[in-house]
Amino acid sequence: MNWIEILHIWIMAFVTLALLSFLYKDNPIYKLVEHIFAGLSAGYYVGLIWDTVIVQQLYIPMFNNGKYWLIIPGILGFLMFTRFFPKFSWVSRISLAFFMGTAAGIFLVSQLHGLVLPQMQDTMTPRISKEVVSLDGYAIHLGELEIIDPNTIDLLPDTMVTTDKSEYTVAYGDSVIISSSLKDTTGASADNLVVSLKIRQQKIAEERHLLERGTSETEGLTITDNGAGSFTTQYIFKPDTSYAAGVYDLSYEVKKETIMYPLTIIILIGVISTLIYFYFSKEHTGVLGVTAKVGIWFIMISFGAHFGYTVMGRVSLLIGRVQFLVEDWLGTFSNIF
Amino acid sequence: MNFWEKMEKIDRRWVYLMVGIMVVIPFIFPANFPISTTPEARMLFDAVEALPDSSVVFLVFDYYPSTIAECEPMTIAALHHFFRKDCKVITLSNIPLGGPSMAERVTRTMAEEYNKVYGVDFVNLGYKANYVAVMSGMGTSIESIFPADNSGTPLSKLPLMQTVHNYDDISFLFEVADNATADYWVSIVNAQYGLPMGCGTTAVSAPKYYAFVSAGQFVGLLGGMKGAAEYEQLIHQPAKAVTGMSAQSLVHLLIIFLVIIGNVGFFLSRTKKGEARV
Repeated sequence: MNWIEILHIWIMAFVTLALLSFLYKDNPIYKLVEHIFAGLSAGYYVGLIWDTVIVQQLYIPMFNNGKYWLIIPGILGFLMFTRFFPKFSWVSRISLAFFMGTAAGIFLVSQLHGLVLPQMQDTMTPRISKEVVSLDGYAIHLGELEIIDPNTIDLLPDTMVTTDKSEYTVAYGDSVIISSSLKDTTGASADNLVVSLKIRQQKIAEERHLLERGTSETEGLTITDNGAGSFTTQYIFKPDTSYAAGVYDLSYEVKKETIMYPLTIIILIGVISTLIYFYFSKEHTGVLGVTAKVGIWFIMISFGAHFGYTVMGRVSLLIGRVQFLVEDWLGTFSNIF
Repeated sequence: MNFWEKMEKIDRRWVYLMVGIMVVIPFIFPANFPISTTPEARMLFDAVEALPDSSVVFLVFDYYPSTIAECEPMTIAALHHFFRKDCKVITLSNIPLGGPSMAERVTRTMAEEYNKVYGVDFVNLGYKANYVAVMSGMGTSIESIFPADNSGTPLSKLPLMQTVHNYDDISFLFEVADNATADYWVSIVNAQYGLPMGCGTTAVSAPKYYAFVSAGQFVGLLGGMKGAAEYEQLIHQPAKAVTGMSAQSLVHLLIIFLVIIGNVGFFLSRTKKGEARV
């Protein structure tokens, strides 16, 4: 450890201890460090924005790469500074209008499509326990399926059993029977087993679903109940030319899905009663009042969970500082003394 | 003044001192408290484990230096996992204050351990203002948003970035955040571009994000230091988060004790006041 690293650690330790000293009482050293932090942050931020935005995204593209149309966003940005001059501050509204328009357009779609609708959909569907069913002791079996151009191969096996990791060679148009035997599937029935089959060309990340949520009613999939918790699943796959020739990994997963009724009912009651608590167009009396009170209970439980996590988070920050002081700062003592 | 009345008026600095002592004790006398693994952490680990070797992944450092204790162990654990699988890691940050430099420091330290080469095995894109524009723009072209990496090297000169142009070339997004940027990664990148993502977040934010796991928008979640410790255990690389959890457990026990004492005192003093009025 060189002296610059040691100095670095000592400055960090001094700043940490100075800020922690506020726990005892407010003092000038705490104030000094607080002000240094505010000043440093502002300076660093200005420098960073100057380099990453003004230089990299405006100056260089315009003057080095000839993208002169960037003058338009540049001027719009520059107009924002007219807010400092009361006489011309109205001009900044042009930039603000542009910014608000684009932000509203982007946020409306992304928030609705990406947050509101998926969350609503998840709330409306029942809670389902998804348990991966054992397949002779293995949860997921991977096979390797080599799809080779039909002109280059004569051997065309038509059956593949994925009870072990194996390699099979097939050709376009072949029927590949992907089957598995399930044992000891307590509580399973042909109706609550869900089969998922994914295929992925080796060294290429993109996966394709052969079967996303295959159930006993899915065409091409057969689930046979052999009794005593034993099942056989079979799916017929016919690779076509949309699959490039190459070696593929096959992911095979069977899940037992069971609706968790108590949890579903609790969520249903929680959502409705909380929404009613925030319904202010009618006085909260009678049934509405009782439901709103139930809503308060759910909100309080939620606050409790948040508070618990917040305590954990704040304690973690203290642990982080103590870890630094004990391991890093005290560690430098052996280098100095 | 009886014991309970004294406790009600106790100087809060005594509580700070007790918390401080509880945090320091495990560093002097190491203790191993058991850490159970939550299904959400396991799901995230499994999702990374299922990535094909050499996949290109995004690791996003969306946290401020103030939450290093919670978030940095997550990024370190994620890098252990990615580099072991020979994944190509692209880092970036939407946090101006410290994000890019933390990404640089952590990634370079980890890369050295695994003999990874900058530009070939990993790239740090750095920071760019306006994260909504950054996230949306990278869907079309990463280079249009980040013409150069964090050190100013044009992306065209980095071998890894020759094959990575937009989200289509990325297999997985590992977001580590102490703020709401995770919401935007979900709503813009996951929802619109279909990029699977997992998230590590501070404990304060964790309750909100469990709903994202339930809805299938996150493949898994790490909540606070506990989540980081779980991931460290899953990759068999116990480090700072696992060590910190001993202190965490002791402080939690202290807080539970103080909450009980406070409530018992409150009810006893209220009963006494009631009796006095009668």
